[in-house]
Amino acid sequence: MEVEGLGCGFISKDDLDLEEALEDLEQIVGKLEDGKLSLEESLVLFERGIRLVRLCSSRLESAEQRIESLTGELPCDL
Amino acid sequence: MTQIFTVSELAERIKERLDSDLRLHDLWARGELSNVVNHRSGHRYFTLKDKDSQLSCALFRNYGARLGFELKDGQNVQVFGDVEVYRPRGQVQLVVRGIRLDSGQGLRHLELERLKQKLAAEGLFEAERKRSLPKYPARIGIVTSPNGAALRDVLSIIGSYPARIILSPAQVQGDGAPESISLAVRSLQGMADVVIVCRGGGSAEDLWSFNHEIVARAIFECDSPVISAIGHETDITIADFVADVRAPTPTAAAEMAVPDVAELKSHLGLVESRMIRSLWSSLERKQERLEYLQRSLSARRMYALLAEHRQRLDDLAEHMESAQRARVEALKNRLALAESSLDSVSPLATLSRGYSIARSSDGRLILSAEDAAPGDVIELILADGKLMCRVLEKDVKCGS
Repeated sequence: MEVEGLGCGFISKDDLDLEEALEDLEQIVGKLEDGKLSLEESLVLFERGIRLVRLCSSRLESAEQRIESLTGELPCDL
Repeated sequence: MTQIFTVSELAERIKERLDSDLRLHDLWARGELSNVVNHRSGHRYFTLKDKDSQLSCALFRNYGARLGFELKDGQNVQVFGDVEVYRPRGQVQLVVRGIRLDSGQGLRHLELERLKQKLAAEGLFEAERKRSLPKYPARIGIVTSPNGAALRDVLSIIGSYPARIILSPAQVQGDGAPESISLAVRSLQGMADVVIVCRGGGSAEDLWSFNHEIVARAIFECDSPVISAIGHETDITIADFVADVRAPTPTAAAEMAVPDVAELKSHLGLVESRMIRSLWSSLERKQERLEYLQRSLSARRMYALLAEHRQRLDDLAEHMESAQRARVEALKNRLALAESSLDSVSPLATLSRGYSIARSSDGRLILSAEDAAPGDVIELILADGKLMCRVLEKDVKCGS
């Protein structure tokens, strides 16, 4: 089942690649809306999709600015 | 419908058109001075002309104060400024911010033009090589001064967008700035998904570092797409020409680099509701199908089955009946046949010719005189009945 390749099952919030996650979501939604899946497949995809949405959302909620400087030189008020 | 403008509206329209044309801003023009007027207010007005055309120019007091020479008719000059509309008189004029005698001073500008042509010929400005920006960059490289307002502007726009921000500090003006900028760009090799090269506004002099060839080449060779934002909207440097995307300001550059977080959140919400909706509708479709199957199974289909079975039953019954009839007929025929053949061998036929059959009282055929004794009761079977007889005498033939 192609579904296996999707949704990068068990990623944590920190190594979430937003672009990949959003692309996966697009695909998941596309497949779900296509309506050709069995109920079991739909449920598996749905669960993955919801997990990805939650991960992305929590990533967006909690992002604090992390700034690194190649020279170690940072403005003092940051 | 035809639109009828008021004069002001029309003038405003012309002004907007001129203001939005970047080629009419921060430009250098050369020509000959004429009609120079040194006004009491400190502003200077003059006409710049060549052999075919002329253009009104204004040099306002604050820009004219540092002028190192007297303006005189007939001088060949280069002026720097913006083309604008002076609406009270509906006049297009060049508002001059800098002016120099057209001699050795134009050299740097000429050099810049030469560099521009050289880089253009090498293809550094080609539209086809401009890369598109990643939609959701995970690593954002920033080349700028760590202490400038530009960095602050960029960071505030990136806000809570979740990306690694990698600052590659550079000295953005003064001696050594071009080297510092190009080194800072090259240091980001392999480290960023998109690079912002920026600095805040300043004089043309301040921004000059971004016109250097080594800066242009560093940007050209950068392995990720570069957004340039040097000075204000009207300042265009060679770095801007080489960059994949030019932003009018550092703030705009940051807006181009990252998606809007609020928009992204609402997109996620939309995705979620789309998933829920499609799951529901798939469930509903399955339910409908089930109901349909159930319906057709219970009513129509069952009646059809029943009718079919009934008909088969009728068919079978009919078959059986006709088969039965045939069988009876066959049996009858066989019986008649048997009867006739039986007739031919039946002793009854013989009896009818005058013979009879004798049987002892226990039913045995009497074939010999020895089989009966005088006094025995025997049975004589004739063609049409029987006689019970008593043996009176026995006479056995000799030699038999």
